[in-house]
Amino acid sequence: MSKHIGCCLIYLLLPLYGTTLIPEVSLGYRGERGVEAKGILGIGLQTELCRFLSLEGGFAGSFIQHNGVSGYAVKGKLSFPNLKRLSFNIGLAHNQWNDWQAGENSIFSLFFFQPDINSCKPKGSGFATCQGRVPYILQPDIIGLGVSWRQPVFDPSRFTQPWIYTGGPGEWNLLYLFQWQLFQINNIKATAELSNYNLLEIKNPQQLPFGFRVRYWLSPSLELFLGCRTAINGLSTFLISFPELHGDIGVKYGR
Amino acid sequence: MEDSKNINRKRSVFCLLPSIIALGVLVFNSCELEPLQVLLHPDVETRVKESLNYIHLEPPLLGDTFKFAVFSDIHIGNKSGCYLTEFTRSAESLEIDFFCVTGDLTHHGSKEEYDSLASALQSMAVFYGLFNYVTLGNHDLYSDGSWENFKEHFGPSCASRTPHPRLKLIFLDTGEGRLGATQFQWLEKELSDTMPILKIVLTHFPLYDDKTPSIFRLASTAERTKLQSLLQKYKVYAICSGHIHGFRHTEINGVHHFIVGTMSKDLDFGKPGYLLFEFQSDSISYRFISF
Repeated sequence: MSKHIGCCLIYLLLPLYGTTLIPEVSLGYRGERGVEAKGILGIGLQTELCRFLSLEGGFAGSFIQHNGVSGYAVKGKLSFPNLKRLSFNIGLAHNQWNDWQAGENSIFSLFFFQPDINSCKPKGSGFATCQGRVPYILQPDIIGLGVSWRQPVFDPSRFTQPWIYTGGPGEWNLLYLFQWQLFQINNIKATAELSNYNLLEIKNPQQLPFGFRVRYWLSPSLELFLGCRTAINGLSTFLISFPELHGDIGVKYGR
Repeated sequence: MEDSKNINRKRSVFCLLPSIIALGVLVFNSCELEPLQVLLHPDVETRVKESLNYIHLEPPLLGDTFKFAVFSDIHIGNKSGCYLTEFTRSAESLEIDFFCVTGDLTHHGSKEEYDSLASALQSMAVFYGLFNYVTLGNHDLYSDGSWENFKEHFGPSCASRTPHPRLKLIFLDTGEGRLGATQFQWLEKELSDTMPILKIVLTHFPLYDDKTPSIFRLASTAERTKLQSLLQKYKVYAICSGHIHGFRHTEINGVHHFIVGTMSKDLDFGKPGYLLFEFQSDSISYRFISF
């Protein structure tokens, strides 16, 4: 098993020889009252293979609960020569819960669009209007829309296998990401997002996930980031609760 | 030219906000929920703790062969009415011993609705010998005092019942779409009891429904995964739920997932009916009965 993963990693990493790598490391916590409480150690790697194609990979290990591998994912991003603000992303992800002997594999694809808001960068609070334009807060700086196939794996002998995509209760999910820049002052940038997607986790349609992220550039190539996310549960009940919290802190090297 | 563009943009923002508010009002109005209940309802932890402290009497044990029905979403108070009369007729002809309701007993959770349902169920018990077990759904929490009314009429929202030494029915409270810490602990304890051979979990929110995913299921992936993993670990025969109106059935790693039909007349998206279990000594079988 580990031999297979090692071979796959070598094949994946071979094309990266000679390219610029942007690594990141993070330490996080994911808690949901009565369900799970685990620490997460995350490692990410980004690289640009050519002008129009970049790769992003992520690995997460969990501790406190579900000790061991928590998930891993790889994503390719294709940019278009004539549509600079649009990109097409496609990837695979695997998540597992070792204590429960269950896993989930997903394949996803999304279009990301970055509207032109550079002409209206807020100097202070994002709530201010820019020269009579709509308030900045109403203009997302990234919009992502896509679809994913998610395949839960409940077989205790196969839940660690990332290649199972059929059988059982698989389902299609729509993906969305709206990200707003709240403010950017000197080398601090804060963003808010409403999204059911990140590289290592896809939320269910029953949830309305949102979060905040602050980035602080310690140097031109070293970024410290801090994020927190939660989700409104109970969209079909109208009885709102926020049982889960996800926070992380980490560093990213390179631009 | 630029000024008129700016005015249009401002106008669009000022139109957007009332539209969002109007949409919110429409949504609340359509589900007939008292707006303050969105945040002020007693949460699942409170309800479960109160339920577990509740002392209730078990009905007498049944013989080695018996039948019971499971249905959901009666929505008493909904204008179109419900199929309780049709069910009673069917139950009488099939000689059903008792029935279980997996939530949304009422449409607004008001006292009048609870009173009306309690009297209807009491008549079914007195005249047809049909006793019942129920748990609550989201609609049963939609009014101020709903939880108090539920408790007064039906007792705990989370409980385990043993109508036969070999069968355990575990009722879970997923009124707001989640189980909560106390209920998960209690559930694991109940499931780890090795005595009854057959265990069936009954609750309002489904885990999976074998259809396009919708917002009508337990919300978080981790919670669904944990629950499914517990059901597998303790070899639960089936989980029966409602909320999605219409009968559905899927099997995941040996656990039957049933979404039983609704008893409300205009809310059923499938064939109106109920799920019937037939218990015979060591075995159990199921079938859907339509009216």
